[in-house]
Amino acid sequence: MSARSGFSVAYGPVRAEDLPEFLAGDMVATPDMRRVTFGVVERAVLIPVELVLAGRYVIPAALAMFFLSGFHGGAFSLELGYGDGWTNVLLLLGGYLGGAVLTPLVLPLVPGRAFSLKGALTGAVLAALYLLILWRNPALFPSRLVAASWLFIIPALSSFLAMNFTGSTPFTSLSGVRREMKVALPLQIAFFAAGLAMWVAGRFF
Amino acid sequence: MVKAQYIRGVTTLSLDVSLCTGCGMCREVCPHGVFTLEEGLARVVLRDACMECGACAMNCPEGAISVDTGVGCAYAVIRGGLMKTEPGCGPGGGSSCCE
Repeated sequence: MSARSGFSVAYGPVRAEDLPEFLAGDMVATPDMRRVTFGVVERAVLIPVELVLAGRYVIPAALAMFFLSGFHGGAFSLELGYGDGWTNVLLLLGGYLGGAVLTPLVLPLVPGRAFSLKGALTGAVLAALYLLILWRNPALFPSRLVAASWLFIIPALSSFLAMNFTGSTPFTSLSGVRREMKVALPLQIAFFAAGLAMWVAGRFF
Repeated sequence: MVKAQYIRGVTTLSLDVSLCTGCGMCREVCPHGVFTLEEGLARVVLRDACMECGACAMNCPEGAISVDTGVGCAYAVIRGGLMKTEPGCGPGGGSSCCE
């Protein structure tokens, strides 16, 4: 850099909050100042970005969900679309919030290095909670196939959205992301497609 | 804070010690402490912490370091795949955070 510009370069801290100390201390950055960190607050402030980016797709998907929820066994009912629609939209939001909010928050606590795996695990926990609710309120889910479909859809969505959080971190590498996507993307698509097929089959047949 | 770690054994970082003059620039600029100086020469000690930002390679006056830089972002990879371009963050965006 100094060769290209002719200026001499002082390498300061990576966080602005360390600047006063850096300037007071003879313009020498301590190794700590030069390291990037990614604590819970640093992760939390990024969550709105994820929510908005994915929200562009989730809102139309939720609307479609209300519409599709009106169908059952070849008939359409507005009342059903509204009633069942809420249940289905809440489940869809489970996958969305699991991947875009919950996984980033608890990131270091979830096992695995690949973000897709972390997201899938978080999604699986949410899906397990949903099973518990289902078990207590069987009336909410008239079809077993529809109920089971969410066990595929929620982890798939959560995994995909968590994988997109790689773009927000200061420690993921392009090679690493490529490696995990090679494995994760086909699985996410397969799980989502299987879940969707079960959902449609459960509602229409 | 729990030290954040990502997938191991994938980084494209390589250091040619025979070109190194031991200036310590790489150790200075690396945000993850990947390099250290040993007996006056650079050495990679935390290879798996490398996020391929390219700061070391850009700042090495001897050109002893090479790394395929790019954004570690799934969205960028998908975008690059769909638009048949290098993974990047937007139209005209560079592929590295440090360029």
